Amino acid sequence: MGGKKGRQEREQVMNTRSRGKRLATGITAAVGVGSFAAAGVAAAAVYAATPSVIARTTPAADSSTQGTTSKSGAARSDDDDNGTRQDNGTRRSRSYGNTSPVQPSKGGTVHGRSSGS
Amino acid sequence: MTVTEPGIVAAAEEIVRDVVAAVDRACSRFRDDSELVRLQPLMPSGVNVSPMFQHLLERALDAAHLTGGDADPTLGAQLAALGHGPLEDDHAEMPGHPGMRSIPVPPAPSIPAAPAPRAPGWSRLHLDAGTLTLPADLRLDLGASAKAVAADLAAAEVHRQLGCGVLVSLGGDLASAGAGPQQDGGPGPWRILVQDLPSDPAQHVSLAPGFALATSSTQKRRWTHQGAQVHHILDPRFGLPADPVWRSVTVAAPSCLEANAFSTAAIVRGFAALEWFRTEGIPARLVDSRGRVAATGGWPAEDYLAAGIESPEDSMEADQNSGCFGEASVSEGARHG
Repeated sequence: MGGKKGRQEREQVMNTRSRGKRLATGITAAVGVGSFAAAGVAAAAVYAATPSVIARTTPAADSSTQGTTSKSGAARSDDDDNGTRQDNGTRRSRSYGNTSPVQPSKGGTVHGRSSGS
Repeated sequence: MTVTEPGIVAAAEEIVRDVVAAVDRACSRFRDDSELVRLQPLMPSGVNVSPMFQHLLERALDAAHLTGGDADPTLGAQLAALGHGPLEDDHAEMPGHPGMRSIPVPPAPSIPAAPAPRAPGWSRLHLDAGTLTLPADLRLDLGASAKAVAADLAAAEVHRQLGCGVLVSLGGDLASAGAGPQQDGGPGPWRILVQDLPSDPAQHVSLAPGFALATSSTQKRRWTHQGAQVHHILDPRFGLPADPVWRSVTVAAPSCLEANAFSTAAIVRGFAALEWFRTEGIPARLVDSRGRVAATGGWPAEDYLAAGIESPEDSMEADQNSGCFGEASVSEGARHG
């Protein structure tokens, strides 16, 4: 996975994956795939998109996105745009073509949460 | 899991379930009928493995290569000795910690001996044309990398079969494939909340479609062993939990496997991870034991001023003098409960 060749391959894969299929519709449903629990990969809980799950979601702030978000995500939305203080200095960033993997969020629907397991 | 197209969430869910089940059957340490558990006794003399097991093992070795061995798939015995493994005989499961138990061991000497360095296990593993040979003193644990690979596989498979954009989250590791959600008339990024425990600093970020995020934590999976708090990320050099310099480390990468490998290795490397990530330009967010946040590789920094929090720079002077944080941007994380 390392080295120039590996990077090029990853970038090619990325370009392929990023092209994707442009869709006219927005987010329409969110299904929680639970953690693997204590067993690492032993127990994956998939919560169906039942009305009860949908009911626990909050409409997207962005009306152009027919999205859903979890209550916890929406409740923390006061964090949005907190972060622009960055000392670029001599630091470098990996090159993934013209794509920056992570940008500050402009708010709106939260689609997922990254946390330790 | 989140998809971008109406009417296919059930089909996507089924695909994700199938992928997760296949990975689980191949490499779970927590079920007797998994391929890993069944074949482990045969590995010293060489054993043929299934294509899925081979794929998971090859990716685990990729992670080891990528991190110089800091993400080592041969720590199964050490994890089990610390109490992270399937229940055996009369070893009771620990309340509130499914799958964990503390194993009785002889009393420790009054003056603990320094841990002896361990030979890198992953470099002693041989996988050739589907035949795996593993020395008898090693046990596989593919847990971290397998979860990340499962997220990558599931996202790719949903996109391949259904053509939609998808974001798959398995235990907090996120992989995406296809276009992102609609935003301003076109596909936009996935919006992600990065936060480990509810009391930890939170940040909302946008993740470019096709990329992945992984978070490794020293706080979430903890238990008491021999009267001491331990966690599940081991330093391969000693087979013991890494010093919890970081509460959590989150990394963005083109694949969840790569993100997971780097986030795991950062926990193992401690303060040295900051310089490593800065040099390599790896987009990462590191939260230290005091809740301070460092960003590397273009990761958007939090603005403690906007959050009305006193500058952490004075309090970090000692760390900076010791080279802990170098030139990485640092801010005090706003805590949210």
